[in-house]
Amino acid sequence: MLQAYLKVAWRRLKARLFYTLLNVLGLALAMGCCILLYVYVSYQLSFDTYHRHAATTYRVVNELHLDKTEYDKGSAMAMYLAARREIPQVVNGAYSCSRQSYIVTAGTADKKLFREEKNIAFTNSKWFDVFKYRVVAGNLQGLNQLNTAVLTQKQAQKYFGSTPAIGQYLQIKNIPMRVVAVVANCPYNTDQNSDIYFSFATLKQIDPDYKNYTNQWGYISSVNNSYLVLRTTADKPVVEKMLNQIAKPYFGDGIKYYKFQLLPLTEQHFDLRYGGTTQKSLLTVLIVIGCLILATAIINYINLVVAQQARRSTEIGTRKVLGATAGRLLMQFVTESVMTTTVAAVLAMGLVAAVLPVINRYWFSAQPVHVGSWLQLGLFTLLLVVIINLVMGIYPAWWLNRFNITHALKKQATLVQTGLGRKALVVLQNLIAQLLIAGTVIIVMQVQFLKNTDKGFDRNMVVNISVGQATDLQKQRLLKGTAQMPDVSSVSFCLNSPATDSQRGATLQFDNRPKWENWPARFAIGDAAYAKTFGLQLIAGRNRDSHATTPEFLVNQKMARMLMGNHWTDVIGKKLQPGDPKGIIVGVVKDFNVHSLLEPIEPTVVLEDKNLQTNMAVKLNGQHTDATLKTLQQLYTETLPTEVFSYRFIDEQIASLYRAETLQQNLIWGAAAMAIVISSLGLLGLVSLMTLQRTKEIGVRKVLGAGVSQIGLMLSADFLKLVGLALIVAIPGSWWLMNHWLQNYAYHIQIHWWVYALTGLLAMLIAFFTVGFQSFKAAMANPVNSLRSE
Amino acid sequence: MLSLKQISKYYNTGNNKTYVLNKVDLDVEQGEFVSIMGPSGSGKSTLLNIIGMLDQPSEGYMYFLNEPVHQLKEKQRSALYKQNIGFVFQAYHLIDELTVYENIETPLLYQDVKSTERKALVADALDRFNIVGKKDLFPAQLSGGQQQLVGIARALISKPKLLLADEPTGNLNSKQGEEIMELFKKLNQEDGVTIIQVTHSEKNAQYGSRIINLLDGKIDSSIIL
Repeated sequence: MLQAYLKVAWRRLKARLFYTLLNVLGLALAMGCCILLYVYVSYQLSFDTYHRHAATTYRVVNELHLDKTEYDKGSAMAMYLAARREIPQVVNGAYSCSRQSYIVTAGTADKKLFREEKNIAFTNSKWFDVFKYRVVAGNLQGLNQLNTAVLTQKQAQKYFGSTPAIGQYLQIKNIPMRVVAVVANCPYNTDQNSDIYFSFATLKQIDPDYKNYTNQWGYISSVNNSYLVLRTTADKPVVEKMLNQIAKPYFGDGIKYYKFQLLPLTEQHFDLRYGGTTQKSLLTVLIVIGCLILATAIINYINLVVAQQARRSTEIGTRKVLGATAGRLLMQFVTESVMTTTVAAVLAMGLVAAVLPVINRYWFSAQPVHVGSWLQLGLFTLLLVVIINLVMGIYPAWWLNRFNITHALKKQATLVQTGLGRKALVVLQNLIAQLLIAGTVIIVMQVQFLKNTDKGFDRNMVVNISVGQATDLQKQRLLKGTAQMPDVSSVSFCLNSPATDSQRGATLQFDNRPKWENWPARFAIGDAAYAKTFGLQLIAGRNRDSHATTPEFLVNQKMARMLMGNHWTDVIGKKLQPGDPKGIIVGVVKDFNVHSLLEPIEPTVVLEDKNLQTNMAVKLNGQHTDATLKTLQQLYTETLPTEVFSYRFIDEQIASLYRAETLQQNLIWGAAAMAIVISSLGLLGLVSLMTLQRTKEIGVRKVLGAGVSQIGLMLSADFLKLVGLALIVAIPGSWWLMNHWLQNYAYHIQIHWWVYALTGLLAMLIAFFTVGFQSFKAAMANPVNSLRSE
Repeated sequence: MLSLKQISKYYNTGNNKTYVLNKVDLDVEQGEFVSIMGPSGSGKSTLLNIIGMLDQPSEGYMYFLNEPVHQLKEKQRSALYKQNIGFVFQAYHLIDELTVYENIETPLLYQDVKSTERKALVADALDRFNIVGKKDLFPAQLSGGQQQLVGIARALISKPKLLLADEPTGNLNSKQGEEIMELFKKLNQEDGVTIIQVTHSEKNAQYGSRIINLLDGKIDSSIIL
């Protein structure tokens, strides 16, 4: 019997090759999308779930309740040690100081310098106890001694090539570090990805800031990580309470601003407040989009089945008379859909394998997506096939059950009118496509807006070059050298460009006010040339003088207003103590954005901190850029022989602030394109079937004198009406959805009416081109042929 | 073999009942060849469909092989007709995707007949109707007469006791029609198959052993030839 099903299914699919191809193509594209989204979503969800006690491992984080709540993922070593000592529910834990950047020297004979950016961590062997790493060589216990290092395979290869790394030496700041172990490279799905681990005990020698790290409770910085392993997840509230209790004596009155909390390790990847990189809501949206695209393809299939129903009912009637039960007839339908979907699934897998590297390169370049397990992917595809077939089987099952044999076998079988359901499905399909089109247009506009809006400073042709802990003398030599370069307009030593994702700031005391202000100000740290280099516009007072005896500050207008209201210019000449330094305000600059435009402008102080000014920002005039960069490199290597030259244009850096938005834009754009292609395939199938079924009517109309254009328009209009109907629903739907999304941004565009005009026009045009060709072809056919064929 | 008692079929149109069949009594014995005649709308096809159990009467009793059909459940009814009744249609209703061989084989598949047995039965039928050479062709490749021949072979493959034919020659030219009627006569006389056919043609009706004339849903006359 199975053989008979397969044989008939194969013949039917072959006989209606055009429709079969439409279905296979539509389903393959939709399944391809679903598989890709599955790869993306499951990859994101797998982050750091593979560690030994992932479910009971927590990161110590804190909320700082000032006027606005600040979130910090860092915690002090002192607190970690106390927690390990005093809280019995804590069974294990690890501490590290990560994302460190140093110049590392490798080799003894021919010393090679490597600039390591934010991939160095200081820790001890406990780290490898809590987090799962595979030891390739050596012993991790060695990391508990002074002057030792653990490398990943990749890093060992980079430093020592094929020579075994164990026992070799590295140097940072002239301090030797012996390699005691090599671990396998980090898997892709982890946020704990340092490449070099130095023994924590050595940190004191390298960074004097860490001299008292064991008892400095205030040393909370986002690079200091504490992880605690609890007995069970139920212990979390108790441990959180105890953390706050044990911290109390050390923070005194200040404790009321702090709330220490535990962030589950598996949530870390998704909590944007604490440095997570992926929004769970994005994953939800993607899953919904995947389902919608799949629905579009399934609707195509069902529509074609319904449209062919009249033709098929005679066959079904005959088979019933010959003794077929409804179940057996359904099997015939199911065999056909299973064959179609299986071919589509194979095609989809092929598509995914071909497309994944491409989108990893262009869309996910910052965080490439990796397939965890192809077997799992295969199983998912199988599940997809099963679900699709179940859904596609519902209609035939329903139809076969209420099937009337005598009706079907009537000598002149009248066409069964099932138009309404089919029309509803076409409307639904178009609705999905149009929602996605409108979404794409709006997201593209918003991202462009974010990237191009005036941030109050000049970001063109400014190059950021790290100079590490260069001495004053070296900085002077760099300044002198650059002064002679004709294409350099300005140079400033600073911590960062104005727009950056790393935050620094403090609460402050103004003028002679007895109380500190209860809001923090952001810091923009740089020398006097900072304002000129980044084009900050001075609107009151004067620029700072680096040589002044008391420190001088610039504040932005927002801050001036927060301090003095409408008399904001009066802040000039007043005393200010932002954090530690005490000085006076000498000027007010126009508001500029220190963060991405996700956040509103914040009160900002421009100040000097020599130790933190580890970057050199160079403003170029845009001519002979390559040559100038080369000369800069020469000057750099001469002046700073122990550093490694590397540079980055800050507009690129700014673009990377909007990585998440750009990614969303790409994903939605891709989804919209897919939905349009798939629903167009469906329309193409439907219109060709409809014209086929209406051949006789078209012939009669022509004989009665209708022109080609009249008939063509009549046939197209039927479909265009449905597209229009979908638009009516799509407008309020997408307006609501997209406004909701835009609320995430402090600065956002307004949705204009023409977005929908554009969406509607686009949808209409696509539908018209799809439908029009077939319609006019049918309209041009000779009526003699169509009327004779009875 | 077949007995209809007071069979009616009506549709409700507003407050009135429109009768298609009105209290029809009919008995058919084993081995008869009955032709049902009558003008359009007289209820011929409905009567045939009720006899074939494809349609159900609104009122009345029907016995087939001594089974009270009106009391049977859907499943039992379909089992009964599956095994005992063969259908031949005016429009042949061959399945386009199946070859001649497969079309004839289909009823056996639905009755779960074993593969070897199926082969033997189909081979027999092809032989008997002289269509061995056409067995791998599809319906579209056959003439109308040939298609009807296949239709008849398919109807007879499971050895039914009763063959129902609804204007079997309606779509055929007169020569093809004659051949089919000769075949019916032969099947009736030599193989003892009971046949009930609906026809418009006086000439074709003469092949049978009895002619029933329907008029406005009632039996107008029953003539034994």
